[in-house]
Amino acid sequence: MAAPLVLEAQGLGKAYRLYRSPLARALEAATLGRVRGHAEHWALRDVDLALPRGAALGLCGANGAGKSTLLKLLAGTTAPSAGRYRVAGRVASLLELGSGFHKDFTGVENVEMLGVLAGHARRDVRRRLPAILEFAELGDAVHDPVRTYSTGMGLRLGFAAALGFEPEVLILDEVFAVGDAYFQKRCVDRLLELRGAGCTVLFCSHGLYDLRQLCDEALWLDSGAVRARGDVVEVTNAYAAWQRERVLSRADGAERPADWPRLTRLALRRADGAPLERARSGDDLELVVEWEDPRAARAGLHVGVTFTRQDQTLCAAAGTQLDGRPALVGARGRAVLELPRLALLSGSFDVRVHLFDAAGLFRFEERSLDAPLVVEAGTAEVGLVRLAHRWRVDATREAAA
Amino acid sequence: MPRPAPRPGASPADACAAPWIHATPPGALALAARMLRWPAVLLARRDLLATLLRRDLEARVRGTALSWLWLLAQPLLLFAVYAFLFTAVLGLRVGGDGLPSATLAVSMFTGTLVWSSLAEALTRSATCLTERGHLLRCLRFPAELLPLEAALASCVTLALGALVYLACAALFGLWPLPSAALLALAPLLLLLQLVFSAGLGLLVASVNVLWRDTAPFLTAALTVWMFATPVFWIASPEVLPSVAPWMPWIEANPATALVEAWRHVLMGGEPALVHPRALGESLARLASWSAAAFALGSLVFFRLQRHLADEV
Repeated sequence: MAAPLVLEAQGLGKAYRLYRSPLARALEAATLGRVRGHAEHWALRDVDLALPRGAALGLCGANGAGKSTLLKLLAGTTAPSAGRYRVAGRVASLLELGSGFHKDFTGVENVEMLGVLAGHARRDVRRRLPAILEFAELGDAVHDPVRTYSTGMGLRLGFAAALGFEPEVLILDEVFAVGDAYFQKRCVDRLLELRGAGCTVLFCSHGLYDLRQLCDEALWLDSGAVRARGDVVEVTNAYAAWQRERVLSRADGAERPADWPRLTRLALRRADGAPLERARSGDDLELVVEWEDPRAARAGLHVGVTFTRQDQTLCAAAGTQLDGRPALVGARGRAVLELPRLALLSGSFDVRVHLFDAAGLFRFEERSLDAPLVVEAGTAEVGLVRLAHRWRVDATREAAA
Repeated sequence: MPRPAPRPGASPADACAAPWIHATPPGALALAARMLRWPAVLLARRDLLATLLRRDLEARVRGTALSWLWLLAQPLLLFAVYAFLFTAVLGLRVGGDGLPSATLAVSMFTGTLVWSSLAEALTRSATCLTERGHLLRCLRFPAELLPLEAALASCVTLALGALVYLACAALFGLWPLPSAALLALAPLLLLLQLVFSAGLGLLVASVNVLWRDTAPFLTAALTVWMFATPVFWIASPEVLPSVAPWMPWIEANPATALVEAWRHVLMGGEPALVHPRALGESLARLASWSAAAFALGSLVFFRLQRHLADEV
């Protein structure tokens, strides 16, 4: 039984018009558009959405990918150039930091203004004001002009005001960029609480961790078009991998020479050779790495493996050079990294294989496994890894002297 | 947690209960519908309009020692200057010795009061959207209320100025108070002025977002318009024989109707020499101009509205 749709978009697109000069615009208007004075820049093309009540959709993508444009369209501050959309219910949006604040007025006056701008009655605004001010945690500063606020204070007030009027649809554009961890935690808690009450959330962030925490579905925009859409972990992993490739390809610059060695096959499986779906902490695994080297006469190669958690924490690494093994020599070959009793706890880890030269310095290639290694702890343990450990306990009933 | 459907095209039972918003610009029907929705918007958003107005007036006096009293002190100072200058210093007279000595001072003061209110509405409307670009880009709200608020604020300053004038005229015995019947017309006149300046305000506000030349052009145009309007002179060939060939143009000027109607109401229609046209005629002209200006301004605003947030 599907929940009713709160937000729908079909073929939604936005083109910004760039006029060469005010005269070009005047000419276009005077000829009723027969003389075209503008160039079009399509910031967003052909987006379809259908979000039921209580869904949370995260947007990721590089700068200029169209994330903010999509959010602005759905928040209703800009008109679509193609397609159509509809949103049911009270929409609250936080699109730019300090959005709508009048710098000379106090925090309280600004919240009141934002409330009536959003269409609430003054009586309603006054009723909700104490809760909003309490959430913003500004103390007596709420009676000072907003121009005296720090960036973080402005963010807190804006966030409190956006969330304070029980929105049915909440649209947030990269609002966690500032604000300390304590406030972020409270925002996340409040967002989850709102979602629990049926609020639909649209949210864009460069912090993939935030997306995974808050959303169950993600949309990856690339140059204004939908590149991928689906489960938030899958999409953000694909996006993160694409970003790393982009960084690398920029670093590598030119094409790879044809005689460089390359990785031909990577496979992570159980130690008994069975395929791996989801691993549990303590499982025995092995990673198979096969390579080819067109110049077999080379001094040799080293293979390195890194395990990186979603939030880009490097958790562990292993390498033939690190372990003091001789360089691998040959026109093709296979190295198997045995991973007995996997120490990693729950999480999704990017497993990346690096192919180095004999000195272990120059990197010919690096490649991630197609799918991340997803580990379930199977216990209540928390943390990154399970340290090898045991307990020794001494206790006595007698009080200390 | 419910999962979103993979593609749109859900069954009608699941469909979103809101009208589609399309990419096509509004047609004639949509524009007409928005015109008809004006009263509903005003009713639903009266709190926004009231808050905007209050903040606007408050911002003008914020940080001053006299605070709200400045809204009364400004017309008071202006009135003192006019009374002193035209009666005591210059001693100018119109139409011979039969008229009270304060005639010129009072008619110029009332003319200035009305004109500055109209000019204030228009200059502030012209920049009311461009100054609030941030707000327009971030929040969805009926932006048509911004020029309307500017017009409303100008009517408030005019009403306060008129009260100051009436109080001074009565206290100092400078000019007899108009009859209650005439004063009862003041709210109607204020409403007509509000509609007129809001209409022109909607026009210049939206056009100035797309063509920033509008605001500076308006400043120049207002100067010309002021001298073309009987603010500092009387539009009657009996008083000023040189205006005779221009009379059709002067009478076609909506600001003439506005200034003369106010002058008639505030000065009680006396002496006849400074009120060359009947009050009814001025009101009728003003009403037609107001309706036309409001219709034109609203249509242009609603037509350009979808581009505003992208251009501010």
